[in-house]
Amino acid sequence: MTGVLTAAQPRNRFLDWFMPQIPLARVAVLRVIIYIFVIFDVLTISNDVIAHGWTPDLYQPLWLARVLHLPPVSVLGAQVLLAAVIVFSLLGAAGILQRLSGWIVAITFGAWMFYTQGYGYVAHDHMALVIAVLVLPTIGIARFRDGGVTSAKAGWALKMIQISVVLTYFYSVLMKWIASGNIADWANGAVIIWALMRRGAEWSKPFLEMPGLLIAGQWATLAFEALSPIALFAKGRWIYFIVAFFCVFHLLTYLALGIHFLPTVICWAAFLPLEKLVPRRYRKTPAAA
Amino acid sequence: MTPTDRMQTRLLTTKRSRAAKADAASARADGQDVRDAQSPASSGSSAPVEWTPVSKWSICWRITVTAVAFAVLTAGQFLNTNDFFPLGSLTQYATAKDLNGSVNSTCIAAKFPSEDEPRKLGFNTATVGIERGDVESQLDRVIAKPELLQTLADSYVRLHPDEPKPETMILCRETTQLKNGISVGEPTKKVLATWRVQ
Repeated sequence: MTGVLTAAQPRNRFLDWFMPQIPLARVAVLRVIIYIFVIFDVLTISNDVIAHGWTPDLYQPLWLARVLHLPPVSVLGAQVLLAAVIVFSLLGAAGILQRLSGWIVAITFGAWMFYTQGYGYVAHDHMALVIAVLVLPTIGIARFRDGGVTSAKAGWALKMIQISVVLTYFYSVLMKWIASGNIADWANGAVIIWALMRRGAEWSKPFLEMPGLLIAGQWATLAFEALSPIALFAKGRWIYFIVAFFCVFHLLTYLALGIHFLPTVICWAAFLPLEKLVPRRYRKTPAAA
Repeated sequence: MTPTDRMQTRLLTTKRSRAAKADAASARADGQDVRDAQSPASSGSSAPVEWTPVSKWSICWRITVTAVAFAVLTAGQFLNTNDFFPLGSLTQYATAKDLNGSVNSTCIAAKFPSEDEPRKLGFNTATVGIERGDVESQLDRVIAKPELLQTLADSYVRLHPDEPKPETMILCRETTQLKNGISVGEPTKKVLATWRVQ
């Protein structure tokens, strides 16, 4: 610990929002969700890294990978990296060697991400998850029984995840504006038609006969993506509603297009009072605390 | 911070922790909802919940890191670059498509020694070691340097050890014409690059 402890904790409204005091038990639960998901991610969604070991010529390193001189991944290197991500994610989820396992997951999963994204196409669904893995170890020790212990460091980390989630949608509106020149051209255009034709599920094909409905869908998408920052200020039941709404949106796009956006979806958990999931018997252990 | 300071800090924290833990425990024993009192500053509640102190340095670096990350992400949008991953541009389906335009889809095919016609392969990691989107993102490069298709052939051979080796790899494009958002006619196919497998 460095610096001066501010005994009276002078706070202002910005800091209350930016670094709210949240229970460490929430972090302990979120950590389980994030780290278990990371294992699922490297084994399924981003499992192309070992295959990329066979295609080193197609490596197009991203900025940070170039700065760090990350060479193209080899098959063996990818396998070692995979093992490290899995082992330390399990330790992180279990709350064992919390800081060490957290930072090792941040480094190994970060490298894994550069190897899955550094071969041409960069996916846009991983921003919040990568940020989550980077900020979680900054919180320090958090246990399930810490329902009555709050931390502003935890508040900041979760706020970072929340902002990343929201900006995934909000900045995509900005990007549509920039990439299309005129946002109305995007909304009145054939983006969903284009997506359905390229990768649509069979059940979604009849919608290709109804371009008007798909255009309405584009306007609706634009509207709720633009309104997504409300999630950063919503409280109570509204937050459950917003999280459920975005989950349903992703479920529909998954069923129609096979695009699940799960790495972002999972990070919506950072908006919820997850400490409620800790069984009561684990909360009531003052003697052990 | 000197070692003495550090020790004092530790003692201070420990004392705070013990006192607060006892308070929190009594709150729980009273059946009080601890969650309601988690933001002492914002709620103004005096409920006994332990909250860990934060140093000014701790606040400062967090504000700085957030501001820099936000600036990089915002710049990434205006520069329309994914290079700063994880803070890249959020271009998923961002380009407007013309209702009277055409829909392109890149494909990969291979000619096998025992077959007369080239056969379309799955454009994914399980078949050729790479996803369609990855190749589409560097399509000009692959067309200019068709020898890059060798690496897809190598991947295919490694991933399908019991199947014949392809003779030729063919990068192709299927185009469907739209009229008022509805497809008209059959898709047309165009060869973008071919490579004789070595």
